[in-house]
Amino acid sequence: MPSAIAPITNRFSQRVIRDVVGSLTVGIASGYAYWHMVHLPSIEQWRAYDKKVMAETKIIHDAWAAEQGNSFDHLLGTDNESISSNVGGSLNSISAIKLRAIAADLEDNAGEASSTHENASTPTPEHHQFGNSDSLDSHLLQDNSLSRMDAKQTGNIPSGGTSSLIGPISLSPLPLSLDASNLSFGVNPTLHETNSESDTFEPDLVIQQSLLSAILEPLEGAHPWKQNSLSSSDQELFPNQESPLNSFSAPSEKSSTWPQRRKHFFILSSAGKPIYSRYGSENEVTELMGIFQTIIAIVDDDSDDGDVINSFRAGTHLFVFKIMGPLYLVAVAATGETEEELKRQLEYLHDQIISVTTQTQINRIFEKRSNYDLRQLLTGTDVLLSKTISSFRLSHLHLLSSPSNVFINPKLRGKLHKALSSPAQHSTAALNTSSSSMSIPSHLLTTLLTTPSRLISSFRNPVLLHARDIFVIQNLIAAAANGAGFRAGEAWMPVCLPAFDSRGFVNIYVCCVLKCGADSGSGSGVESVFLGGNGVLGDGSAAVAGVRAGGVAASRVQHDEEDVFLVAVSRDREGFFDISEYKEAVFQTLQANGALDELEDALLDNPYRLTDFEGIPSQVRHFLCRNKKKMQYSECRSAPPYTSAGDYDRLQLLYQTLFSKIGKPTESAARPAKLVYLKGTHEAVVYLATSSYDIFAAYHPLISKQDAEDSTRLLYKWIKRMDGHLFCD
Amino acid sequence: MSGRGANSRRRPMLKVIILGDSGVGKTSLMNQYVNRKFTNQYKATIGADFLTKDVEIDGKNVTTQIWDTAGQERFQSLGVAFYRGADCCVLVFDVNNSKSFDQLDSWRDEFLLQASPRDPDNFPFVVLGNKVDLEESRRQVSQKRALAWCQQKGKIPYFETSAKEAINVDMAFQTMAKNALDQEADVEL
Repeated sequence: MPSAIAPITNRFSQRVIRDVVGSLTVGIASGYAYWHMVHLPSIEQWRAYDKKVMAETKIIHDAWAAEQGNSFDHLLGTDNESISSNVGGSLNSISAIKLRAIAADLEDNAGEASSTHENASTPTPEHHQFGNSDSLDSHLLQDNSLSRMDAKQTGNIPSGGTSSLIGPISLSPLPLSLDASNLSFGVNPTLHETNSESDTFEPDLVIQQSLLSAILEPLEGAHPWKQNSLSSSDQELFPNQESPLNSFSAPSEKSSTWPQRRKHFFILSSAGKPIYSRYGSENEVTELMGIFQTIIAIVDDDSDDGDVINSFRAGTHLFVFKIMGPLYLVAVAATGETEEELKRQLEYLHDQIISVTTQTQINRIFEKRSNYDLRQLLTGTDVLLSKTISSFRLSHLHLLSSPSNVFINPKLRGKLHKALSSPAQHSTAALNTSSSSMSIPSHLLTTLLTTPSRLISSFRNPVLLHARDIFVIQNLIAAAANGAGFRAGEAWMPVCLPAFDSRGFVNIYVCCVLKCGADSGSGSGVESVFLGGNGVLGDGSAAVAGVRAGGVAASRVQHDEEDVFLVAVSRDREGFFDISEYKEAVFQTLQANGALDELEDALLDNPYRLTDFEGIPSQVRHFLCRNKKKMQYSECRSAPPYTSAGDYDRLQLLYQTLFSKIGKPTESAARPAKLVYLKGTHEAVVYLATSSYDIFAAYHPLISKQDAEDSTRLLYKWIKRMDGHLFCD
Repeated sequence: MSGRGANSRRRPMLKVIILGDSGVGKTSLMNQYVNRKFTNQYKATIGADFLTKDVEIDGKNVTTQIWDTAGQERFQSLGVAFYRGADCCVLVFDVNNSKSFDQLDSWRDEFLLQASPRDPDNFPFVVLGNKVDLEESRRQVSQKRALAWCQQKGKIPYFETSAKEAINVDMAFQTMAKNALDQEADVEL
């Protein structure tokens, strides 16, 4: 029984083994056969073909690489200079950097290609060090913050009091596009809002793009690389060589250079019609005005939340907007000034327009006719605006909201003040014996004794003028200084003092009581030269030449040799004769007690030198001091290095920075800082606040913080002692 | 004050808005008028373009500030900004496209609503039927029809123009500037 099955099982296993072995053998054999007889020959064939193609490609590639390599050698010189000359002329810095990166990339490729081939020149190692200029990185950093737009709530929204406001709208850092065909500079802004209604911004997005690039295009020319020939301080010193807006009809050949200026001011109506531009011809600025109007309107109109645009930055330029009712004011500056400071300057510019029209009139006009061309009303006032702009560089009145005062001794101050407050009744018989004081006209609001830039004495009966109003008056005198001015005769005119009452006019009386300045006709007074330079007033060209020859230093001594004017503010339109009589009495009194002669001598020593006084620590290079109660400031005479405009500008920027840090609580301290120390590369500046003074002082950059503080405190003691000399009551 | 500048009275500036459907030739008209150039290529205006041109009208020099707007609907949220304080409005349609003519009504209404001029009935409009250089067979809006519309809307001046061939372009802008100036003179402040 068992024998029947056994042989079958054995045979089966034998069969299985034989099949497996057999198929493996056949499979492996056929595999080998395929590999050696089919596959390998075909591979050989492909290799041969590939080799042939490679050889051909290499020939073409090498020829190209040799050519490209040469051009990149040219473009990417080892120093930055050659880059700026090749690229900077037509490009913004950003695209230039972009181009540089791309060029470096390409150049790397070219380098690789050439290294495989002996004939091509191997690039020098510097070429690969694409970051070899330190400035590049900082440029890139800077440009990342390009076009940040803040649309914050500002104080002068008519509705006011709206507490629930949409948060700031920001333009995110922008990707920059480099158009290979013409290397033009474009910006792709993407708007994102912190708030929910982002969809309402959708249509504007593309517009922003075109608008921004449209703005940047003309201003691109302002790139520092392009300005090699003109130093920046030169440009600011002669700010008005070009025909300003008022000489529109005259074609100006140089007008295409206007975008290269570092600081621009534009005033336009809410309809986008130009009112004033510091540089550029009418045709050139009109487009920009339209763009500004649109940008303002995009932020303003789209939402009812009262958001207005404050500022944005594009490259090195800061664009600051100030919306004053129907007037839009725009400052564009590459000077490094802060938004806060530029806004302040725009307010002072606006005051100039108000001073000739009143706020009420402006509002009424634009209510009736939004298309009104305000230039019709402002004919001839460009000189006021230009003068205001040039004063931003020379005076600290705007920063400190207080007029500057001259240094005279308190006894003389007493005499001057007495003459203003109770002028002796003069009679032809006996000038100095009379003790009966004349009655002051009841409509007289206030009297000032002032030079075009500095206050000497004031008599307040009964108003105290704000610094803005004093500036309006001083600017009027300064702007007129070049023409016949107020030197001869008496002037009586309606002026609106914006801080005192922006709704109506008061009448001011101006009469020159002491002629210290040179005759304006001779053009030797730097004051007149400064104005003459802008082509608005006469005898310009000769004067400009004078300043050019005189150099930068001349600009800093412009306070000297100024005429002294008596300015009386009256509310009575018919009050001229009363005031004239009052002035005559004051004048006689001043002459009788010898105050005028003393004043003339005293003005010669102004501004005072640091070295004139024992009490001023020798480390002090320059200082500014504001009396908080009297709201006046005093500045010492600029000594080197601050006699050059560039150095002085830098100092002013530092003071501005200090000023922006004071008076408000910081993150670290809840109370306002009393002492701020700021170290720059060229000087260290200190701000010291006491109960009655704000003191700004400049020192050598290496001075220790302790030394700076100690000597500022010594300076404070001196100022306190000399208060009567420095400020009037 | 300074003697110069005071006597040279400024030339008036007129703000002119060009409106109309997308592709009717607003930018081309402006370019032909200002730069005397024409291109067949179509490039959509983004947002708005601004150009100025000095003209002489009845011996008086005037600067026109031309605001060329985008016809596409997506840009029309900018209305108020562009229209505010306009002195004159140019409505443009394509004579070969009757839809662009039908839209004139809404463009006009939109403008009057947004700009809210003091005297809407007498606000200086000008209507331009553009692209008359194309062959007659393609024409969809007859001169009669256009004139009838202009009459009905308060005697708006109508011009058949071609930005390409520079037909009537100067004439149209001259008339527009003149009407705007007349309007200006009427107003007492």
